[in-house]
Parts: sequence; structure tokens; C-alpha cells
Amino acid sequence: MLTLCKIAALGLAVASFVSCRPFPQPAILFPTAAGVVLAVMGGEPAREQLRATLPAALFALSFSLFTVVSSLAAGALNAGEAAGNAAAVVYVFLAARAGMRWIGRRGFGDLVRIVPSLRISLYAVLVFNALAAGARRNRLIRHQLMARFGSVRGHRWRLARYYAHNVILKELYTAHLNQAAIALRVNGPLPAAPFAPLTARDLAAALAAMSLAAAGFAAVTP
Amino acid sequence: MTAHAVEIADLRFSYPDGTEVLRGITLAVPAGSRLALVGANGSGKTTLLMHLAGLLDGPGRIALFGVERTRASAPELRRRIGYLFSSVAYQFIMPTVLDDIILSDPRPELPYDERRERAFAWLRRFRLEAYAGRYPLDCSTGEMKRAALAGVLAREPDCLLLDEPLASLDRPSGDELLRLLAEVPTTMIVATHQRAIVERLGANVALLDSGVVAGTFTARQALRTRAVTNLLW
Repeated sequence: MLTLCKIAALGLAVASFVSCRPFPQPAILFPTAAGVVLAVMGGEPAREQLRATLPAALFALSFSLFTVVSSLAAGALNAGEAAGNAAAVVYVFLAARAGMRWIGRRGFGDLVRIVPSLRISLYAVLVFNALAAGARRNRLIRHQLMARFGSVRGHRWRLARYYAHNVILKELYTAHLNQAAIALRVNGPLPAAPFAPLTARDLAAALAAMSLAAAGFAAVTP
Repeated sequence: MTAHAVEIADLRFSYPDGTEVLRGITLAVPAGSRLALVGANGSGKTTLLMHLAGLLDGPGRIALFGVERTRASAPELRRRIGYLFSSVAYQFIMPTVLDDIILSDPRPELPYDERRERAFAWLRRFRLEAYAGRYPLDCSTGEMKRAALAGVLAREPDCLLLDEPLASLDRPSGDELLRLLAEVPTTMIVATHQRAIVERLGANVALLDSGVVAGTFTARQALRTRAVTNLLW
């Protein structure tokens, strides 16, 4: 099934990249090329991808700073490992993002369809909804707080404080209403659309990504 | 066979913080009729609808289509009810408008293609064909309301519970929704502050005040009663 091929390509690309540590070594080019295939198939403009990567890059930076500090404390600075960890975090983020876009809603529907249990498939659908709604809620809460406080300047701590409790309360409210919606609306199996059609382009991209990932594994295997 | 779709007797309910919302509601809704629940904010309209949908369980008697509401009968009764949330965004379960309507199909044993056709018929009726593959929350408020209502009606419920169906809609969207609702022959209970619901649907009115039914009126009587018209836009 095409969706499983896409997931396999994504998983192999990530595993191949992580296996190429310690960086830098030439083998890294193979999983990087696999990542490029995923990014192209995800169909998101490069500029948007870069913008979305910023939080992950900041997280990776702080993560590697901790690594540097702890390795300094241990008396053995390993900057290469710290940089490798940061690169791996960013790569996993970018690949997962592009891979999810490539799999798409249709592919998600395929996954829900092959799950034999209604409870588990419903859980998957709710997680998907929570992620999609979470992004909107984040924007909504930020706008609400900005509207109430006027500007971020001088209110950073208040914003952080109210943001956290708003997110939690709104999440609880959503959970309560989701529960009501399920009680009222689900009385049988979830709709199962036919599997996503197997297109030559998708298949070729999945095979290319998997081959590149495999080449990365082969290059680092002694 | 009962002549009443809904019978409520001495229904009471307090929220966990002690707020007493329903203080002994007694009401009967004839099968096939339309009833508008009118009352000030906090008078208990939504709480009453949630009891009818089996989402809350306060002391008192509720019978739907002659079946007494108990813990055991609640799931079966829910299947006969279509509930339109006030915040419709929370109503959607599936990731596309089409699949969300298919989810409501009362005949899940039919092949997917057949259910898809049936769902498309609802989409056409609500002029939503172009939104079939869209994530429901990507729709505008009016489209979301129509999609949610299509999902509710696709279930072919015996009783419709609508919580503020016209809230946040512009005039043309509201008119269209009212036109669609006017075509629905099932029993309908609507919590509202909109005069148009009473006028256009010819709905009887139950006036809720501080958790009790302060009066019931025909549409014509209601529109001449100041206690009711004061609460309607």
C-alpha cells in the first residue's frame, strides 16, 4: 500500500540520517538526499519550510548547548557530537513535517482504515483533530492575549502565564465536547474511503528515498 | 405509540459548583412539532438540550418517543437524536466534510461508494459539494454550520436539537439555514434568541426563566407577548 511505502521511506530516511553519526562524514549525503525527496514530495515552498523550522532549530540549539555544558563539566568537550545532535533534531523535524504532508489526509484515512479496532482508529482521528485544532488554537490564544495586553513588550511573563493556562483550559473544554460529539455521532465503524491510488510519481519517490536511505546505511556499515 | 415525542417532568440539575440551572422543568413536545426554547442567558436552555441528548443526567423524568430515559436506554435514544452544537467546530469528528457526513449515515453496512453517494446528496442539498474534501475547520462559520447540519440530518434523526443555529451567521446564511430547516419534517427543539426562528419555522415557544418553564405559547401568541419578544432579536 502506497501510504505504508511513504511511511517506510520516512522512517528509513530518519534512521539512516541518525546512523550516520558522528558527523561529518560523506555518508550523510545519502539520507540528506532522501530528505530532499521527502521535502519535494511534501509540496511545501522552501521558504515556508524554513520558517517552520525556526522553533525546531532554536530547540536543537539549546539542546546542543546543554550537551556542550555537560561535556565541559565532565572535562571532555565534544562539539562535533553536540552539532550532530542538533542536526539530527532539525532533520527529524523537517522529514516528519514533509513526510506528513506527503502522506496527507488521504493517507491518514488509509491508516485509520487498516486499524481493526474502532477505539484505536477513533483515538487516531481525535489525535489528528487535536493537532490540527491545536495549531489554530495557538494562533487564537496568541491573538486574544495580544488584544488584551496591547503588546508583547513588557508583558512577556504575563503572556507566558496566561498562555499556558488558556491552552490547558481550552484543551479540557475541547476534550469535553469531543466526548459529547462521539457519544452522539459515532454508532458504527468510521467511514473507510478506498485506499489512496498508487501513482507512479509517488512510488518512484518512495523507492528513491528508501534506496538513498539504504545507501546511507551501507556507507556507514563497516 | 405516543403523541408526544418528548415528555419532561420535574427535571432538575445543578452543576458541580452548586449552580442550580434546572429547577423542575415540565414540558411536553408533540411529535412533528417545532419548539423554540427562549430564555435569558443562563436560563438553562443548553442544559435542557444536553439532558435530552443524554449528555447530562439530572433527577427527573424524561421520555423520548415513549421510551423512558435510563442509563440503559440512553445510547439507543441518542441514535434517534440529532444535536447541533452551539460551537459547531467541536461537532466534527472526521478529517473531511464528506467523511464527516458519511459518519452520520444510519446504514453503516452499505458499501462505502453507496454511502458516499448518499452523503453527496446531502452536500448538494446544502450547496457544499465544493467542500467535500475540505477539513471542516477550514470552512467559514456559515459553511461549517451548514456542514454540521448536513451531518446531523444525514443521520435521519427522529428529533432535532439545535443550540443557537443562527448564531454568528450573516443574514443570507441565516435565511438559507432557515429555509433548509423549514423543509425538515421531524420534531425540532431549538434554543434561540432569534425572532426569525419563531416566525419562519412557526415554532411554539417555551419561555424558560431561572430554570423553570415560565410559559408556553404558540408562535403567534409568543410574538405578541412582551416577556418573549424582549428576549428575541
